[in-house]
Amino acid sequence: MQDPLNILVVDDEPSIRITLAGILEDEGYNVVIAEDGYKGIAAAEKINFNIAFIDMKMPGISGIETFKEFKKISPNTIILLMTAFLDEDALDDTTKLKVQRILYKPLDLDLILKILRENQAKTSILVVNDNSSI
Amino acid sequence: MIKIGIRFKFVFFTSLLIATIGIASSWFFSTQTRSQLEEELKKRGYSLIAQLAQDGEVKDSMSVAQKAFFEEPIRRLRNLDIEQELAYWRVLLAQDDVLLEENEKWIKTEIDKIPVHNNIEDIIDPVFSIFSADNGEHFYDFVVPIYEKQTITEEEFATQIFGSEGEHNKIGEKLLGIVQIGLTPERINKKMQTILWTRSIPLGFIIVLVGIGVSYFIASGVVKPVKLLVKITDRVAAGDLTQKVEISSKDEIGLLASQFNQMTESLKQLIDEKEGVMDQLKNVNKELSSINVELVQKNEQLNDAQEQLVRTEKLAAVGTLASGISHELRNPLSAIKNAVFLLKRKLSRNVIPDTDEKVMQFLDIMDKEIDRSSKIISDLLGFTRVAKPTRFSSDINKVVNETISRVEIAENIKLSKNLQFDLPMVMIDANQIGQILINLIDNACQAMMDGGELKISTKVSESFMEIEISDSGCGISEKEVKKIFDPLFTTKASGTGLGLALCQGIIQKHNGVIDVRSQEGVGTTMFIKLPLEDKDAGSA
Repeated sequence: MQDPLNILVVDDEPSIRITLAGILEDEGYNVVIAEDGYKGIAAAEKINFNIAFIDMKMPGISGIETFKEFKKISPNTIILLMTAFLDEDALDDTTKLKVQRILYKPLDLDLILKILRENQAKTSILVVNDNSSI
Repeated sequence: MIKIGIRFKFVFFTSLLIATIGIASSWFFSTQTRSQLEEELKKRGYSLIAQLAQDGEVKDSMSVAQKAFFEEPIRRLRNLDIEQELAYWRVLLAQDDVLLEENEKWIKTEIDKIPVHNNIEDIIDPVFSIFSADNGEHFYDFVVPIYEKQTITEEEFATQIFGSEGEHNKIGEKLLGIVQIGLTPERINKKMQTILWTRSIPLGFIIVLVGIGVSYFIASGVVKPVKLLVKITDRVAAGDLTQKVEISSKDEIGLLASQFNQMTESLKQLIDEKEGVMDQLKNVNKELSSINVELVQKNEQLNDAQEQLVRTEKLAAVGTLASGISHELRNPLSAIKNAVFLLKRKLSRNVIPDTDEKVMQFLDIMDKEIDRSSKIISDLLGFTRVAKPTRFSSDINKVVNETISRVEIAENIKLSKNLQFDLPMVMIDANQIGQILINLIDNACQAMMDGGELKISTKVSESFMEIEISDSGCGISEKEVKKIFDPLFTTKASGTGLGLALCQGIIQKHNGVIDVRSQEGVGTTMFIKLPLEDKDAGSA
């Protein structure tokens, strides 16, 4: 059995942050939560995360900016951007930045857990087929 | 009404005139001839009676009053009468006794009917008179006195008759008696008759004929151009203004013709001008009509644009509201969903005592309702931000078939497809159009809960690709059909009223048209028209 994945959850909404972290912990992963981008980045400097869930729309530093900073510190981390609402400008940005996947809220948790489980061995290639692309 | 032509009138009156002149002149000449003949007869009568008066034998026989001695002078007299005009003769003695009276057998009047002169002493000179008998016969009657001694010569005698130069003296001469002779003008009459029949009448006839001929000839000269003029006038009156009278004579007819031509010409010009004006008027009228039509169209367009504007504003307002609410609701929903998810997992893993089945059941309900809320929000968001279509050249029939395969159609609904073969490819976002088709087919099926027929057809009409989806369902009322594309308008109990508004948004982004035709109780047909050529399509 491999070491459990290190997962970072960044969201300004405490209820989402807490519930998502709770589910992932329940699944057996090591989960770190951060309430904004800066804290998330700070956490990334200490811990090498395999996966990071980052909310796109946050006060202070946005999800996209956080994503950019994150890639500098930890280029191998698979970053999943979460959003409740995606405007087209933001979509263009994510396309340019080669974001692996955008997850729409409410999240399809069954699917996410299934994929995480299946891909635990090959952390570098994460495929999330949540069928929610526009 | 009988038309009497100008030619007939001319010929008739000219002939009449010529005939009148002919008759008048022949009458004049015959009168002249007659009086000349009568004068000659008169001369012959005097000449004959002068012969008798100078005849010595006559004087002798009168002196002795012997009738028999007259035979010889009478015979000579008759010999002298070459023309045989002598009708009768009478010798009257001074004692008023008729010595001799005889008449030719061929005259009808008896000698005793011819008056005897009385008072013969009064007759000094030869006397001439015309006697008309009761039976109509005329006689030139000559009387001459016979004296015992005859001293005058024949010349002197003639002088006494034709303009005497003074009375000759007869005093001292003894009057023996008078001799009376009568000449008949019958010969003259006959001659006149002959002249009439052999010369005057044929001549008159010839004159009349020649007159008719000449006047006809003249009339033709006059009438021919007039007739031509009449013919041309008829044609002009019938509307053929190109007619010209070709008369080049320099008389009044020629002048009339040239003036007529001028008149026709100016008439033609007037009519041409009038037609020109009429054409202009027609054009102006046409222009006005087309302007009117254009105005009506523009007005309609304006109304449409206004409606569209109101709609767009409404949509924008709804959009802003919807996107704000959606965003705000998604986070709490997401959190609740996460929470429920975790609770369910925990519960399913180790059943907590004192919890009944209902806890799990209620968690399921929560989960389902969260999904439903999420769906509503998705619809709202989808409607408010219809993404710019990513258009590729697509086969519309393929899109239709794929859509049908993805939709669940109830068994009591009969599907009939009528897809036109060999349709051209169209530039569309197949995902978006598919989404619309799913929406429309769903709506159709929901209208036919008790079964019916779903018809889907595709065809090319003018410069559009047409897709028709019709159902035999309950239909939509006239009042409602106008609103079906309005956002948040729905006839369904659980509808959001965003489906058709979303469809319209997508079709508009394709520069197409979506429309509806519905009749309550009969069914509803939805039409989608997508342009075959679209200038915006290339920007995909």
